[in-house]
Amino acid sequence: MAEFRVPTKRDLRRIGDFCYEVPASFWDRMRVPARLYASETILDQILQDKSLAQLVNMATLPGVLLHSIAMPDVHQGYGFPVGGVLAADTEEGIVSPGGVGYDINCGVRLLLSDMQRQDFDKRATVQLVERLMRTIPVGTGEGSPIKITKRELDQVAREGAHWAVRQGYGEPSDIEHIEDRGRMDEADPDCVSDRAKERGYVQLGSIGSGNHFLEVQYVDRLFDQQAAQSFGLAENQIVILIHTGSRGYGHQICTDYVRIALESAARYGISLVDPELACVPFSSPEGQRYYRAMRCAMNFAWANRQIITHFVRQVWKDLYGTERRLRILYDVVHNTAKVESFEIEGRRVKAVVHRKGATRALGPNHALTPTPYKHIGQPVIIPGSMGTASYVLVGQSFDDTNFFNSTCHGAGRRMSRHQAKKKIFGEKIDLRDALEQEGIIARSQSKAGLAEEAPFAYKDVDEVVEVVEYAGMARRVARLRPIGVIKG
Amino acid sequence: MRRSSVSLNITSPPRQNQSRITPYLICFAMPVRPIIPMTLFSALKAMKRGFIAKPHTADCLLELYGETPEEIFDQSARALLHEMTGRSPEQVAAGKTISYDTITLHAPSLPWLLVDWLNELIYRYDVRHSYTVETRINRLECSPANQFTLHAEIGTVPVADDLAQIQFKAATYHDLRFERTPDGWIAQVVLDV
Repeated sequence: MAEFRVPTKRDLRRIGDFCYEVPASFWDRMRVPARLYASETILDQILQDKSLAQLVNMATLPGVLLHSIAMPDVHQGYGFPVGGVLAADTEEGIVSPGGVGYDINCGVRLLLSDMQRQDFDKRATVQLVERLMRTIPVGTGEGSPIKITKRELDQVAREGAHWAVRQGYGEPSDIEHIEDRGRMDEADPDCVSDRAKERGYVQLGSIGSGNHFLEVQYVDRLFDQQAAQSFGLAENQIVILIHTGSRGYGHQICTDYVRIALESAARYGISLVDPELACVPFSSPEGQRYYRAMRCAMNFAWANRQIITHFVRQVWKDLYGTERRLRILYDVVHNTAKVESFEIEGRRVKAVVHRKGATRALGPNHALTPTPYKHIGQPVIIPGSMGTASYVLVGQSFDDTNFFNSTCHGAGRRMSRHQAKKKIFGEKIDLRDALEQEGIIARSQSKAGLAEEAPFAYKDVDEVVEVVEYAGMARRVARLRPIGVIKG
Repeated sequence: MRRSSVSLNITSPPRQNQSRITPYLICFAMPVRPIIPMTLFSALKAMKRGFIAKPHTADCLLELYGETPEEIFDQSARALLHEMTGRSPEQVAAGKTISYDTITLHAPSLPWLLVDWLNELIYRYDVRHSYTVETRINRLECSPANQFTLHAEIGTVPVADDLAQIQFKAATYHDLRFERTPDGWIAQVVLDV
C-alpha cells in the first residue's frame, strides 16, 4: 500500500468552474474521489492548511458514496475538515462520531422583527446589546438560566424544541420553522453517559464561548425579491441571529463515542488513517448506539436555542412593548449525521450524510423541505464573523448527489486563534472600539475571546456565498450586517 | 505550588512508542510556525519542561515537554489553564482556598491517557465550575498487558468569570503524540475550541 503524500494544487483536477477533484487514483486507499468547491482565491487559502489532506482521508472510509466533499468555507479540523460532507451507505458504510464533530447540532437560528434599522441609533443599540448580555448566559462560566430535573433532561433529549415549547419557552408555530421540526426521533437517553448528562444539566439555555454568539443585524441588501417576500425579509429590517449548539452535553457524547469507535474499529476490519476518523459500521450495535445518543444531543441543541429565543423575546417585549414580535425565520443545523435517500446509478440508496460544518439546503417540493417553504425552498442561514456580513440563502437541491443536498456553514477560518490574538494585541488594536467605529456595538466576556474571532481571521464570506451560488448549491436572498454582537 | 515530587514507578512504554521516537530538532522543523521566539524554544529545551501553544486553524495545539511522563501530565494541566485564562496556576490560585481531590484513570496507551486526563479536567471545569491549579501525579503505571493507569491528586479553585477566556469542548486524538526523545519526553495534543 502506497505511503500517504500531502496533496497539492498539482494533484487537483478542475471539473467545473468552481469544482476541483483529487482523483481516487491519487492514493490507493481512496475509495472515491475527493471533491472541493472553491474559487481560485479561496482555493489558495484552503491550500494553506491541512484541509485537502483531511478531505482525501475522508475518501478512504468504508461505504463512502461517490465522493468526499469540501465546501468553499472549509478549513482544517481534526479527522474531517470543518466544511466536510460525506455520505456513507447505511448497509455497507460507517458512522463516524468525529465526522459529526464535538459540537453536535451546532447551528444558527434567525429571528425576524418588525423594527427597522432607523429605530436603533447608537444609544438604543447599546441598551439592547447590554440588556441581552445581562439576560442571556454567554461565555465560559455561564450556566443554565433554568432549573430542570435530571428526568426532564431526558425529556429534552427525546423531544428537543417540542419540550421547550411545551414548557412555555416559545410558541407552537415556532416548531414549523426549525429543521426537522426541532426533534429527531429514535433519540435514546440510555445511550448517553451520566457524564454527558451532568454537563448538559448545567448548561441548557446558554450560548457558550468560541465562535458562538448572538448578533443584532439589519437586512442590508436583497438579491431575490420573490424569495425575500416569501421569507418575510425586507431591507433595513432588524433581525437577531443566534449561533450555538449542544454545549457540554454534545461534547461529551462525541468524546465518549470517538473512544468507543477507536476501540471497536479494528474489530470490524476498519483501518484508520487518522484516529479522529474513528468509525464503526452504521448497522453495528456501537454505530446504532452512537446514532441514538447523537440524536439526543441534536434535540438538546434545539431546546437550547429555543430557550435562548424565549429570553431574547422577553428582552424585546420589555424594551419595545408586548405588541412587538420576533418570529423564527428558520433554524439550521451545522454538525450532524442524518439518514437521507438519494438516487445513485439507478437505485434508491439510503445514506448516512455526515455534515461537519455544513448545512442542509433543500429546494422546493422536497419531502423534507418544511411546509412553510415547500413552494420556494428552505432558508439557509450563513453566519459571517462579527463585523462582516451574514447571509440568508434559499436551498435549490433536490436529491443532488453533487453535494448531497448540502452547502457551506459560514465564512470559514483562515487564521488561527493565536494568530488573530497576536495581531490584535501585538498591534494594540482595541477591537471593541474598532467595531464601534464601524457602527457595531460588541460586548464580550473576555477581550481574548473577542480577539480570536476578529473579522480578519475569517475568509471573505461574500466570496464564499458567491461560490455556493455559482456552484448551484443555494441562491442568495439577503445579506445581513451586524449592529450589535454579544460573545463569550 | 506543590510539584510532582513522588517517586515514579512507571515501566517502559510499549515498544511501538519507542520505535516512533522523533528527534527534537525535527519537531522544531515542523512546518507550523511557532508563536514564541526561538530563544524561548532554546530555554524550554534546556529546561526540558514546559509547554507551547501552537497555531492551529480553529483549535488549539499544545506541545508539552517533560523529563518524565509524569511531567507531561503536569504541564498539560498548566497549559490547559493558561489557554483558558491567560494566567499561570499561581496567579489563578492567588488568595483562593484550594480544594483537593483524587483522580484515577485507565487507558491502553500513554497518548490516550493524556486525552483522558485533559478531558477529565475539562469535564470538571464544566460541571464543578473549577480551575485545576495544582497537580500531583502520584503514580503512573503500565501493566504487563500495556494498560496504563494514572493516580493523581488535583487542587482546584472556583472559576472566576473575569479570568475566563475560552472554553474547550474536548481533547482530541488528532495529531496526538506522546514520545520519549533523547532529551526527555514530548507530547502533542489538539484541543477542540
